[in-house]
Amino acid sequence: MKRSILSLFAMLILSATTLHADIGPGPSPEDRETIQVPVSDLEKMSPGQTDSTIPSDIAPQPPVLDMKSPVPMVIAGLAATVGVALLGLWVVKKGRSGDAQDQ
Amino acid sequence: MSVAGASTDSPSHTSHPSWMFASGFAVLVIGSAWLSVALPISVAFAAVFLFAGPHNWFELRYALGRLPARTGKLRGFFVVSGLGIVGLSGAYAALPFLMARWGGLDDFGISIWSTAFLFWIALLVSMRSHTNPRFDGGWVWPVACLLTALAWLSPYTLPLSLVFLHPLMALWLLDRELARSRPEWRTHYWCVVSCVPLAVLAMWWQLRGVPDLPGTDQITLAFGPTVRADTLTQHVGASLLPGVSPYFLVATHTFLELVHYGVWVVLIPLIGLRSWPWQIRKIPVSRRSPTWSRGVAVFLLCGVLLVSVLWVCFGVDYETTRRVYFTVAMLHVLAEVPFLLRMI
Repeated sequence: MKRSILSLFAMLILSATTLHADIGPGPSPEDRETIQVPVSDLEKMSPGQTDSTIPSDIAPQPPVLDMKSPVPMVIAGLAATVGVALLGLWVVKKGRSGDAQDQ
Repeated sequence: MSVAGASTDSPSHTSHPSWMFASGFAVLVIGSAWLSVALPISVAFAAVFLFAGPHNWFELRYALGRLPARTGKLRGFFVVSGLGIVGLSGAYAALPFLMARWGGLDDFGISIWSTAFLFWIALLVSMRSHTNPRFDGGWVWPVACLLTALAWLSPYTLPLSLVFLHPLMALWLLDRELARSRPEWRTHYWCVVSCVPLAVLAMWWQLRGVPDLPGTDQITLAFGPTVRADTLTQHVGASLLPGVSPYFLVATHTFLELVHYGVWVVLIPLIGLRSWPWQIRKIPVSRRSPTWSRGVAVFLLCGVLLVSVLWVCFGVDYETTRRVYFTVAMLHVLAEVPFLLRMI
């Protein structure tokens, strides 16, 4: 009985870590979309001109917090890991109380 | 909540056999399913117009009849319940404003709200498990964590689930009420309840190939710009479920809402009310003192007034009133959670 509970617990932990590994750290900076500025626009820039003077239609936009960021995936992974661990602990506790009742 | 004792002077007729109750309930289920398939938009608009306010009032009256006169050892449970109901409802109402202020916060805001909602329920279940009749509530925290993971992976799943699952809570509450008041009726009740998923299945079979709902219909034409049919399709998450017929989604939601209204306006008052609605002295909390009695009377009278105001507002601007109502209605959706937990 105890052995089967421990096996189940180990399997749950393994699945949680696998899930966490699948989620990963998110896209690398190289993978992110880069803003292409036409050469003609760059040629119009005078020496010393900063990005703030680039016309707004080609200027990089401020980053927007959205679901493409890895934060939701990380939180989901953590919650799933904690959930599976707590489930395993609860199963073990139930198993122990069941064994105690059998005896 | 479930502490208040039963009194013998019930307005319900004890001579009614269980089969009459089951037949009435079956008529409600079948009739609602048929109407929802035949006239989904018209029935949805009419049902909300007619029953949204009254069903909340009956729910309030029923809850008052079940609340204990004093909180006693359940004080902590009541405090957590009240804080959660008010806090989560306020946050739910504030979400659109927050999203408008911080663009891109949409999904994060919904996920945070869902997480708070799940852990609030988990806390209530855990607290409930430590009071009589006790049960092992150890499973609730892992389940809350796993559902939280889902809420972050798919933020709209939980709010959309609430839209469809909330009407079913009335059936669960009715079952608990039958267990207390008419346990011999439960077998027939369960038989009829099993027809609800069958009816949904039949609706899906009937509507699976039906074209999308029209943007305008008779109701839209009759009420002009104050009513929009596409509001319904948005409400039931048609844009989130592209593979499912919007017609089926609207019809299913209309069906479940109709059953929900029928349960709250007809069946639960018939079975569960220990006294006539206007018999304020029968409400446990009003027996504490004349002041409490007057307070409860004013509270219920304000409720009646609010129902009337809601009808007038629906008549003036259905679309806006509907939107406001379904935001405020989160309050009663949340209030049912601790209420149901005390009934278990």
